[in-house]
Amino acid sequence: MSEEEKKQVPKEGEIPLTSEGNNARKIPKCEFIEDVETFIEKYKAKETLEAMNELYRKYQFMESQLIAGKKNLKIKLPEIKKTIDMVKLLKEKHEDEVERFNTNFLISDNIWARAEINNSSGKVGLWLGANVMVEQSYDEALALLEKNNFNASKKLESTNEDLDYIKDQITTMEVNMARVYNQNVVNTKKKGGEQATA
Amino acid sequence: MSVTIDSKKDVTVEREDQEKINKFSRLNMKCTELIEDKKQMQQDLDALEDAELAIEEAFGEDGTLKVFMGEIMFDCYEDEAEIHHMRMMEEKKEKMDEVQDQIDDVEKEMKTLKAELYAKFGKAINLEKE
Repeated sequence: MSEEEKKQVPKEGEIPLTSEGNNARKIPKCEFIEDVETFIEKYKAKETLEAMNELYRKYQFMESQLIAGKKNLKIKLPEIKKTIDMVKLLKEKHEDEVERFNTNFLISDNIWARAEINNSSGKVGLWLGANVMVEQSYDEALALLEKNNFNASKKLESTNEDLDYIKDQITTMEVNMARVYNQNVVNTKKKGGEQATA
Repeated sequence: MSVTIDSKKDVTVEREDQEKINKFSRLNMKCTELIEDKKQMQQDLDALEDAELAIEEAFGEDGTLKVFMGEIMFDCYEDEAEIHHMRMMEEKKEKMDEVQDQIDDVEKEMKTLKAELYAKFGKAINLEKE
């Protein structure tokens, strides 16, 4: 048996619906079935459909996870942007030598309180998470925020790439399933017809 | 969208067709998202236009306005508010044009693919939005 043939022979009970994915996350690639007729002759329609359904659900699960991650990023990005705008404002005011200015703070839903901001120090506290806040100069804070912004955008980009990839596999799987199903209907009919004439 | 292949008619799906279907499906996903983004931007832009009117109306009262930014409102003079407002408008408009361009590109590509796929599969394939 040649190398080529060895690869094509699956382990017992295994239907070659997917192959190793060469993407960053190692998501298996859904294989396009070239010849449905011989494929289900070899692996039986019922078993094939079952295996396909299972894989299909797995792909859909991965898709929903990615979509959730993307949603988070789409909330996070504007928040970072908002913070950047705010620090920029403080910086501008500071450079214009406005040491105090009045603001209205939201202290609870629909309740606002007046507050006078003193920005003569030229510093701002950035919340780093994990109950840690660090005082930094405006420029340092901006650099950090810009970096976060950049990272989040990159992450969004890669999530989009993954989603595109998953979508491809899902669509391929859907089409495969439809084709196997249809071929099975045709086969069953043919069989029925043969029996009837026999 | 759903891609349903009903092959009662005898059309075989080639690998090449599969790739086209995949691409179409992906573009469709992107298109839906872009349209949603645009809707959101339009809303923001409408709000900004309302704000423009509000700034004009308040003109010459006591000279100060409150501008909402991040999580606070801060007091500022009319001219400051106007500059801030203009900056935001420009930013939004620019982004919206960008999204519109993307939508146009995606729709154009989808149209070509749709024509090709319908030409081959006819009624056996459904590429319409549900």
